[in-house]
Amino acid sequence: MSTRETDSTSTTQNASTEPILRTENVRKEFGNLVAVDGVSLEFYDDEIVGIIGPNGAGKTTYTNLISGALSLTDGTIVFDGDDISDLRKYKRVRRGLVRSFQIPQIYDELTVFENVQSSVLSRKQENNRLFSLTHRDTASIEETERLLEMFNLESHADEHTEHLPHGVRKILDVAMSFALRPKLMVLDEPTSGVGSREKNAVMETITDAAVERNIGLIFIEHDMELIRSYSDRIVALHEGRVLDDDDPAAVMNSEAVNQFILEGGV
Amino acid sequence: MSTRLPTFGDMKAQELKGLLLDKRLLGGGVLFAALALYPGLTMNAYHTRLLAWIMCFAIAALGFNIVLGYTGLLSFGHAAFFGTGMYTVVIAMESAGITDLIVLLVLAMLAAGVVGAVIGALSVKTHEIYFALLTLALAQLLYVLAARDVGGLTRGTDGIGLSRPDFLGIPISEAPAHIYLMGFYYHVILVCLFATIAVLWLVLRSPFGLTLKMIRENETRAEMSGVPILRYRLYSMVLSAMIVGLAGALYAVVVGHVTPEYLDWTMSGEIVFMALLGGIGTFLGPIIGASGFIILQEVALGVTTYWHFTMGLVLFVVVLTLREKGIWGGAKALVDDLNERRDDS
Ligand SMILES: Nc1ncnc2c1ncn2[C@@H]1O[C@H](COP(=O)(O)OP(=O)(O)OP(=O)(O)O)[C@@H](O)[C@H]1O
Ligand SMILES: [Mg+2]
Repeated sequence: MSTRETDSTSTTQNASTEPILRTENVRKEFGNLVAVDGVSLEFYDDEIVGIIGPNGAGKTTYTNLISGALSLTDGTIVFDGDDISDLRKYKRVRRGLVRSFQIPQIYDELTVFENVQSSVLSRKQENNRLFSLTHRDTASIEETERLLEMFNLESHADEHTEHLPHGVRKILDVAMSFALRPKLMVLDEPTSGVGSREKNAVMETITDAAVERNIGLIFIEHDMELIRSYSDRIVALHEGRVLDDDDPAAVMNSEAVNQFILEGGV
Repeated sequence: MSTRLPTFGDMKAQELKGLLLDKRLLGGGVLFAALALYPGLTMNAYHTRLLAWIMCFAIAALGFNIVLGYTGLLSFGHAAFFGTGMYTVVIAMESAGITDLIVLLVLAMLAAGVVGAVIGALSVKTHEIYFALLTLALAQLLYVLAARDVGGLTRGTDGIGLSRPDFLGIPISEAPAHIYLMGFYYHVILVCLFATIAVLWLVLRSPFGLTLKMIRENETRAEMSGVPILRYRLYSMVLSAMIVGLAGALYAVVVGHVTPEYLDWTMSGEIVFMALLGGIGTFLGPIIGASGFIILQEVALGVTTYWHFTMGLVLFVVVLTLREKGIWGGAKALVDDLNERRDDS
């Protein structure tokens, strides 16, 4: 297991008692529509949290606020002890707050290997190296190989990503996010579009890797089976508000959750 | 598995790749020698001039392709950098009395880099057609400034004639024009072209080059990998501008007269044309494109007054059939295809 690089910006106190991420009264309005309506939640780096909610509940919007893809209308986001509410997207990533995508965001004209290596080099902030050859850079190559192994992607290493099956693209997207050595990873529907037989394998790969590397996970999911199997805690959102936030059994039995989410047929 | 080699294949693949690289180096060396000896062996001033011309534009097209082929931005303002390179040389000679070629070339690259930084800073936030239009508009502004002689440096549409620079204190400029070109200046351009190829080859295979490709392929992901994409787009504009500025500076001495036309949008269009013709998806394509363009222009000009139309038609057909591969990529694909068929049978 690799040691986490010491980052001058991080002020990690005691990781398991301090939340890695805290949102306070986070709010997002689109014109008259309030998509996220004062959400206050805490997340720790040793847990896997599932977010559920009907379509339009504000799940994606909430994660976009966390990643910085959308700006806050109101509220505060504290990550690893620092207020990051106004921090640019790429700077949040550099601090270890990483997201993966509902639709895989990968580089189609590059090989699987290059896709992962590019993330490794970005994490090391070596994008500005002008006169060194990436195909001779043994440090990043070895790390890339380990990641490919971890996500069972070795057999695809030299393939261009365009023609990969959807499940593999999904895994590659996650592998690229892992290459960034996040402290917390936010996954928007990591199994959407993946065949139902593959879903468990995808989740398994992701959660194993997260546990192995001490990465906190937040994942949005519509599949209640997956939510129940893989989360330590469930947050239920409804109309932009937190309906429930508890351990899986309690949330699944909650009356409000049953009324608004489970019976809604999502 | 843990000792997997950098080429991601087995040892044989690695050796093969090494061989291929050597073959390319060898090919490059032979080409360099042939080009270097050409003027002396043939004493053909017309061909030498044409080759010098081609090489200047090959440098420009290579530089331009950093932005289009690698970063994925279509600039329609690269005349600004070419023209800045030209004007820097002539103004530095005329007004500042600088005559050393090396100094002039360095100054031209720096000036073009600064213009690239300004145009880049104003435009990298935009995308696609907006980027194209904004770069076009900003470059056109420079054209107007030069044509109106704002600042009294450019002498308006008449332009400025320039004399021949010296080299390392040697008063080589006193040689007759054709000797200056065939015995000296042509070789300076040749060295600059090969130096540009070498530097770009390296840079585009570095983490920096990969970063530009990341931005081209998927901006969202690049940013979510922690890359400040606007900054890298700006870097690519500055690098591109400096190389195109070098091309302009070299060209200024070949034509001996600098006018605002070189800052005009038609000039930008010609650079785009060359890159597309040769193939923006390949490293060497722009060189082939520049050669094709200039040779075609010479031929078409000789036989028809509708040469613009002829060129347009050629580009239309090439882009329609070969897309981003262009002539060079298309030819490579054809060779691969033939090899495969031969192997199959
Ligand atoms: N960029 C936007 N502009 C305007 N309205 C938006 C925007 N993004 C989301 N919304 C609206 O905000 C609300 C919350 O949307 P969001 O995408 O966050 O829901 P979700 O919980 O992710 O739903 P789903 O389960 O369908 O993915 C919806 O009503 C949606 O139409
Ligand atoms: Mg959503």
